[in-house]
Amino acid sequence: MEFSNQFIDKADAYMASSLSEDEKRAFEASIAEGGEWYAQWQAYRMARESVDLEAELALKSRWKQQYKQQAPATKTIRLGPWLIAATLMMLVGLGIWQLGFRKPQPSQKQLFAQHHANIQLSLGQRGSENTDLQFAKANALVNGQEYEAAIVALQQLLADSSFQRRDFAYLHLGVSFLQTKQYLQAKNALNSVNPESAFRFDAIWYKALLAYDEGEKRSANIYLEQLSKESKTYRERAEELLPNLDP
Amino acid sequence: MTEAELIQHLKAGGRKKEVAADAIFQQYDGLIKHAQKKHKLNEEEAFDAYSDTIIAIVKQVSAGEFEEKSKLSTYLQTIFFRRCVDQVRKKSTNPVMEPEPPDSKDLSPNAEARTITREEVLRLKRFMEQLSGNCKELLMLRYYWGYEDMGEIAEKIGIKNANTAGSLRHRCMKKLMDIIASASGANSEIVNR
Repeated sequence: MEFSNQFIDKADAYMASSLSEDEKRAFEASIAEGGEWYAQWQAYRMARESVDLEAELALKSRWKQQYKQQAPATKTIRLGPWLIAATLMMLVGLGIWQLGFRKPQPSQKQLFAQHHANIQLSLGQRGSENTDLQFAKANALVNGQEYEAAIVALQQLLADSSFQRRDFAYLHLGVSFLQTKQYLQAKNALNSVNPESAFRFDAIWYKALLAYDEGEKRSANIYLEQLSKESKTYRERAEELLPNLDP
Repeated sequence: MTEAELIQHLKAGGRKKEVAADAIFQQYDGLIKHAQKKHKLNEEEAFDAYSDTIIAIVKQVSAGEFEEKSKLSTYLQTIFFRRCVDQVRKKSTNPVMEPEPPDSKDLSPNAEARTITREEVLRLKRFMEQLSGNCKELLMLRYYWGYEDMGEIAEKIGIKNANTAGSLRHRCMKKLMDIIASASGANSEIVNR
């Protein structure tokens, strides 16, 4: 049997309730007559059911992955009683006891939120107009925390040899992989940021967070110490985090 | 997102529907642990009940079948309760039936969609398996997620432009219908459903 584009378009409009009353009646009458339009309609309905089912299964699978990967909202470093006493005495002695007994570990969410507030989209370099628009869209996906879609968009951009803002794209790709807990891919993307580029310290910052996520506290320490020495932007944040990492 | 925004986004289709579906899932996913405690379901069973509930909600709201007589959260919890009871029934021959939660009477008429048998699920899956990745993706974007703009679809699946996506849509849909029609040659039930 030959299925026609015309039938598919008509059936689409019928399902979307966008046919006029007359068109709707004519369509229903054609199907009711039996014959070819009836057979096409049956195949079309089943095709729509198949598509829906496939989409629902894909959605369930994605949600399952996300649900299993959910990290706890905050992490706190517990201090033993003797440290609390010592800290209390120190804080009282300094006259700043109102700051509390422990410095809570900033959550990954807070760290990202802090950093994203500082990322500015630079429009200094120009690639082709098309890739600029695509890059703006990819950037919007990252800022909108639509990381899966951002990964696809950024990879497409990087596959285009005319695209120039590669370091910025690799940085965002690394962030997107990190947020979706694809650590190896995150590492590769962040390592692709040119060590001479303007984004080198951003890349080191995210590598520190990645190392912390993976439990590699020593590596995280090394990155944070580098930032503390070399980057004015990240010095304060690095120094804030350094004492909170286990030795 | 507020409930009004979720409903509006689901009805809008396309990217907004995708965002809203994820938002609803994340907003109420505490119900999974709740079901594990209250209905003694394991994590898999509770997750299935919950994700099926969200999928049903997305479908009904997008199709305009949710009449907004009650809050979306109330409606969601009602459907979820029923799905949990179904899970309990599957496990036990003598299930304990708990009273339904309050405000459960305010249901849209299609609250319980047609139950699809496992056999039908396998059959429908087999049809889709015979399509290319691009075809599957395009058809899901167009027909399930409701993306209208073929340019947007082209971008998402990485093909040339809107015209190419438009032609591909017809080709993919015809291919799927061909697959189904061929299968119906072997099984006349398909055509006569």
